[in-house]
Amino acid sequence: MLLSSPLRQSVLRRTTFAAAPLALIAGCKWTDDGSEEATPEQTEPAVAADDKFVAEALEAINTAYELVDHVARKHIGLSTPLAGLTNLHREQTTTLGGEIEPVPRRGKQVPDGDRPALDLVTRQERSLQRTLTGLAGQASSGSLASTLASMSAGVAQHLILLKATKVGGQA
Amino acid sequence: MTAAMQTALAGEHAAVWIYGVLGGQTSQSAEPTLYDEVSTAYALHRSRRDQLMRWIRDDAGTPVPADVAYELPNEVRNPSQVRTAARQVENRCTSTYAVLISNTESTRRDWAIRALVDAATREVRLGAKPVAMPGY
Repeated sequence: MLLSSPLRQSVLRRTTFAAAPLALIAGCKWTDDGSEEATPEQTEPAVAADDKFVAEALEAINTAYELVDHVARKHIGLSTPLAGLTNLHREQTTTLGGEIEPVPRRGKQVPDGDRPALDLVTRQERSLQRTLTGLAGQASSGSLASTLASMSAGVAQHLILLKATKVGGQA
Repeated sequence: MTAAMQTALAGEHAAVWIYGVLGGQTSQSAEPTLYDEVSTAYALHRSRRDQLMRWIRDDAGTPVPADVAYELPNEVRNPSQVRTAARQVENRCTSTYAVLISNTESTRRDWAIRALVDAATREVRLGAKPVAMPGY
């Protein structure tokens, strides 16, 4: 699945702008308008592969966002501890040039209890973190690899907080 | 690639030195959780320093030497200050590893990703607020 042209341009523009210091270190060339000049290491197939990785990352983030959104709406007591995750997913999506577009969740139902719901969110976030780590390892562009790895680390930080979240007096 | 590894190595030299000081300022009996965190971090940073040195030598480079001493990020007279200093160390490491990731591939990149995630999570365990993209 390749990104549509406007979105691809947006992704390149955003990642280029935000990752410029890293990319400069990586030896990439940048034009005055902020667009990226393909280096010998960034062939057309490599750029296409990176587009696919960005699309996969956006899909994984949006899937995680959907679940967090549904759980926070159903379990009011979890809305505050989950607010950070919602913001995280929004920020990361914006960085990749995408947009959060919540759709009715058709997959797993949200459990009734707070603890099972939180456990489901935790599993989903772990899955997201693994996905981002894997994509970072495969990315052709060094700056995209760094961006995705940083996102993986951001999710990992929130997993620490999720683990410590108290539900109904439980640690 | 070697320049980024040298930068990461310089960061690890500093981390090892600073964690050595932090360990000496942390009571195992009074602050067991912090002591464990500092001790674990010290061992991990030593291990990473050694790995970076091996890779630089493998690439026919000369590993950048450690300085005699490093400036502490802040005073470390109590557990709160120790945590603050440790967070600073980890925060700097996330930045250097983000750069290293962008300059490596395959095994070395995977290793750098693990180091970045580890530093970022330790930051939070030491009391930092999470951010969307550590090291970015």
